Amino acid sequence: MARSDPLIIGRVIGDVIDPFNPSVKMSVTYNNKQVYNGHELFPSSVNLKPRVQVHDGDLKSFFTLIMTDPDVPGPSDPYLREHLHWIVTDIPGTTDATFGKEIVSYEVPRPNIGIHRFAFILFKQNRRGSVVPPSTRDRFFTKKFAEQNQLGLPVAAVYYNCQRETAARRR
Amino acid sequence: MKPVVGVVVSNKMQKSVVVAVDRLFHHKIFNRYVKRTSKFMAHDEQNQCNIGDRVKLDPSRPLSKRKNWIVAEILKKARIYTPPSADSIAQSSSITKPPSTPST
Repeated sequence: MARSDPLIIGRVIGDVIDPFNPSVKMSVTYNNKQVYNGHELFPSSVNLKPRVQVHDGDLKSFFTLIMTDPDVPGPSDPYLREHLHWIVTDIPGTTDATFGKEIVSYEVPRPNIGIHRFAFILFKQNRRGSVVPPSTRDRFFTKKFAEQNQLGLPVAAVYYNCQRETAARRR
Repeated sequence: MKPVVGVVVSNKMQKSVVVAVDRLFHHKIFNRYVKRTSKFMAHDEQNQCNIGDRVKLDPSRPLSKRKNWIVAEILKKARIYTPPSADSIAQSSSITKPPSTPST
């Protein structure tokens, strides 16, 4: 992975996951607007759960999707890192997240202090139904969770920035 | 990526510094090299930068409205002049003063 990779510049690799080689193509779309690394989305536009498509693999391979926020309560002192927003497991290849099993429901991003990163991490499962849901959303560790469930390194990742929408912005 | 190196011009903020980065470019019309300065706000986690320090910047995600850089390393610390204290002045004056001769 190059030093100019947006996941490295955005410190998603390092804060959330270890360095990896993307082997699967994944697209995340919020009401027909695709998410690209480092782009900013407003909290009002991420109210509904996104459409996450896995473009590679086959119907016999299964994937786990994790959405997490490493900047809680604020990016300058994220002592509550990370906050879990969504987990979908058993997503068959070449399909989207609606075909998977939602073990942690989607929580709407509500960044309060500063600019938050929201990362979507895709892991490949060894077998179906092997992922155990975490006990709590707070102080979630993606690396540790992947280790406990034998998920290995991620196969795809994307993140976006989001900050609190003030009254002036909304006008 | 070309390393961004500049001089700290302000450290009045907490965990933030303003770094002036100079660049030279060739002016086609005047056929001269022209110097331009850009000022960037950068994140200084340890609050260890002083004005005049030469620092290397790394690009980062947006940390605030105007802050997209991190101080990677301090290449050269600025030499800060510390004025002598009153005690040291008194000591030095007593050493250099010649012994006074009693007047008759």
